[in-house]
Amino acid sequence: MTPGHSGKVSESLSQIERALTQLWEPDETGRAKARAHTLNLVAVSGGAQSFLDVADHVASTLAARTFIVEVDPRAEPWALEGEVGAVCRYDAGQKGEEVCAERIELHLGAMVAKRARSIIEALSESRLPGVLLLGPGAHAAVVDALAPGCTRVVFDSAHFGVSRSQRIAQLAPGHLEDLAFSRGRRWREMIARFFDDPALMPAAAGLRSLRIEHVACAREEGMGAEAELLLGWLGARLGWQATPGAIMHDRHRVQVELHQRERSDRTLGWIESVALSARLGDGELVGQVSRDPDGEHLSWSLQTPDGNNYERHFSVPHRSQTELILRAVTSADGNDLIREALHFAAAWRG
Amino acid sequence: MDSMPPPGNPLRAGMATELSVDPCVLTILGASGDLTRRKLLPGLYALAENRLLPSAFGLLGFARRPWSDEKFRKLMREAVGEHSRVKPVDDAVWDDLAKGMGYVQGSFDDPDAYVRLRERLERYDAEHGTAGGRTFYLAVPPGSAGTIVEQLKKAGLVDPPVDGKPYARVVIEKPFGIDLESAVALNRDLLGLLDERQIFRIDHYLGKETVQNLLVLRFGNTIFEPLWSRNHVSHVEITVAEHIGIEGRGKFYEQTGLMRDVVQNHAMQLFCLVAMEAPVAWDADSVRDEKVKALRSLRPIRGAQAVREQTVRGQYAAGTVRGDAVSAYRKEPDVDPASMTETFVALQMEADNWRWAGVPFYLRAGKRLSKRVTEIALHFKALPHPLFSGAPGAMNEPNTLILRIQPDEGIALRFATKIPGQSIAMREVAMDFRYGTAFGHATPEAYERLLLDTMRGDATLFTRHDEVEAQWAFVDPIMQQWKKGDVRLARYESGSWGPDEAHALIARLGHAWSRP
Repeated sequence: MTPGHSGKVSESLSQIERALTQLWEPDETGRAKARAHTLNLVAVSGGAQSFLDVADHVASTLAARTFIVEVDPRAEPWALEGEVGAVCRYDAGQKGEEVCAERIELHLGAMVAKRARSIIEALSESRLPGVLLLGPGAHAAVVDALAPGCTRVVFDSAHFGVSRSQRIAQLAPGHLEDLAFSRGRRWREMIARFFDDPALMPAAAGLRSLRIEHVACAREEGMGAEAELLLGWLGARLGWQATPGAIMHDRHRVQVELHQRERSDRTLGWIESVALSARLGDGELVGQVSRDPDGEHLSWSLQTPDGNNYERHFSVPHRSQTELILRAVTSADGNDLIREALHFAAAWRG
Repeated sequence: MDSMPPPGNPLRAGMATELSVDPCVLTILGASGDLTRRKLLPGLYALAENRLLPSAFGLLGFARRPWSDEKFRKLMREAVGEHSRVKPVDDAVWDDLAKGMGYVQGSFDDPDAYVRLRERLERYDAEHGTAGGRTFYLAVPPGSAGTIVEQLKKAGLVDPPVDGKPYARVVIEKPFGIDLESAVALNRDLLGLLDERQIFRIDHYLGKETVQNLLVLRFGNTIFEPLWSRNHVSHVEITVAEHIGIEGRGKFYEQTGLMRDVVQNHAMQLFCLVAMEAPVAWDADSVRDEKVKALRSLRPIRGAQAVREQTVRGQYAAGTVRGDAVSAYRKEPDVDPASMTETFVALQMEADNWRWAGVPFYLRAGKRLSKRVTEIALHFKALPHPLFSGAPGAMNEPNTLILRIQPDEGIALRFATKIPGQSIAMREVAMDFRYGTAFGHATPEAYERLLLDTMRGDATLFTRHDEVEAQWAFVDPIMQQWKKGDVRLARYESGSWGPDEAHALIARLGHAWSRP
């Protein structure tokens, strides 16, 4: 933290700023690139190439000034290295012209990681929204430094686990998007459907038992995130109280089981089935949703207290991580639900 | 909003509303037609692909052709493959949609066919859980709507809405009549059979994202609305230009003309959205109340002199469009070689209200113009004092706000800026916002949004009976005067921006058309 060290970082920053200016200068023919910015995208990478590819795709699709931030453990602790380039695309709307946005790769030494916010603020377009996109293995110090200053944070609880994700949520005052929560959207819709009929609606308050089965691998941490978030959403919506490993509602214990199932033919973390029962008057409502063998459809069944049975089948179209992230960067819904679900799931996990 | 999800289900709170469309069956009457193939099925597929359809959903086709369910599904699959904006077609999504698809053969005037339709719908309720929710989409030629609604009514399929009961809605395509008298008669007939809340009159322009964004721009921001009046706006231009001709629709166009095809509906809607006051709420009646007020404020253009001075009717001659030589309107198939049908209209309109008094609204719409573009340009008033009048490039009226509806949807603000250098020299520049650049993903087609809204029961983007009548009340006297031959049919070269008379019309008050 000596002045000399700080000076070194700012010197690097000045070089990056000069490179940014040069990027937009006209070439020898006098022609300059067309620039478009709609947001600042700060992608914190743990080094996975697949994540960098997704970040570049998002950047070019949304015309973002993009920062790829990595902490390089081999670098000198106070090092800041930047590489400036542009992501361009041909925009039909611009009469075939190239429209470009800056792409700035930042490699931070370990000590500079904590100053990431100050660096990003210096280089970003301050009047545009700042989206923080967290990749697997994102350096904790960088995440903690950047989350409070961004207008939106996009992450995947499957990479971080719900406890760490809850910590990120607490740090981030802006809009949250959790890709694990997004993947559970169809399941939430299916569960809500059990209680749509006004006659069955009161059964939601009488829910006493819940079993969620998901695909897991003992060695992969965080792979139960989708199931835990589904539980978190349900618990938060229904006003349950969570303590580590136990859930109460109206002085009744809610029986909850998150069952892990190892399946090599399925994507890790996928929810496989949800079964619930709820009291309604003297009777019981029993609902079940399960993924079909093809993995792309859900079977939904409901047994009402008066003995009627209903069965439906629904598709679960696959969304790639890139599609999910693109939606997450622009989506306007879900923020409060995600916060509640994370809070509940983390409390239950303990 | 009778289709909103049950408010008491705590698990629905905060959930995206589009996921909460009530179960229903959509019946397309006229299912063998072009609209179904080109717009409705691709739109429904896109909704399914985005998981926006209700999970208990059925789609029934109704038409004269002797098709089986299987054949209907096969043909619609082909149509989606050909016309869907979402490609490639996902077989899993399609299979899911196709599972709920069926077909009923029948003539529109055959009561037995409607009995079969009712039985089929009841079977859907039992087998697919569609719970009695019904939407009837009339993809039929104008003139058939009255008969169909009457038969639906007789078959007990369109009972008026009762809270808590399943709904029945009818979607009707334009044109709503061919003049004021027929529009009033059609509305009277429909309202004798249905409640206004059951009628969804489609003008697909209102489903366009940028048309909706016009309201967000105006009423979701604070900086534009204070400028949006006679205090700051000099004049407004509305352009609805097509580079294509009538595309083989000679018979239709000979009966219709551009005034009925485009001006009476699309262009009038654009006028409404620019000129209307802020609605008190974002709901169907509040928005439509304001639109009707805007239409009623239009000063009628009546009498030979007013019509001659404030209107231009044109017809395209041969010319070159986008590099291709094209023939004159009168040489198009099924067109009378001496046709007097208009393919171009220019109007100078004025709204007699507090906000717009004295501000001309210029409207031009036409076929075979230089390019395809729909846009609204608000030209702001001249500088009160020309401080830089001697400077190179100085402009007296430098500011224009342009709302581009299609293509390249976006908003541009033009203003003057100093050219860097030692002396004062000016140039016009633009702040240019483009939807495609900002949001990346393809914007939904108008029909997707409108189909979804019919199922949700939200009529905000549909025209109400009094709105349709107010539109006709404005254009009808002009057409009547034209019929008398008081206004010459001006010829214009294909690929131009319309006849000279259109330029003279706007020049009368010292203005000029923009080059979009």
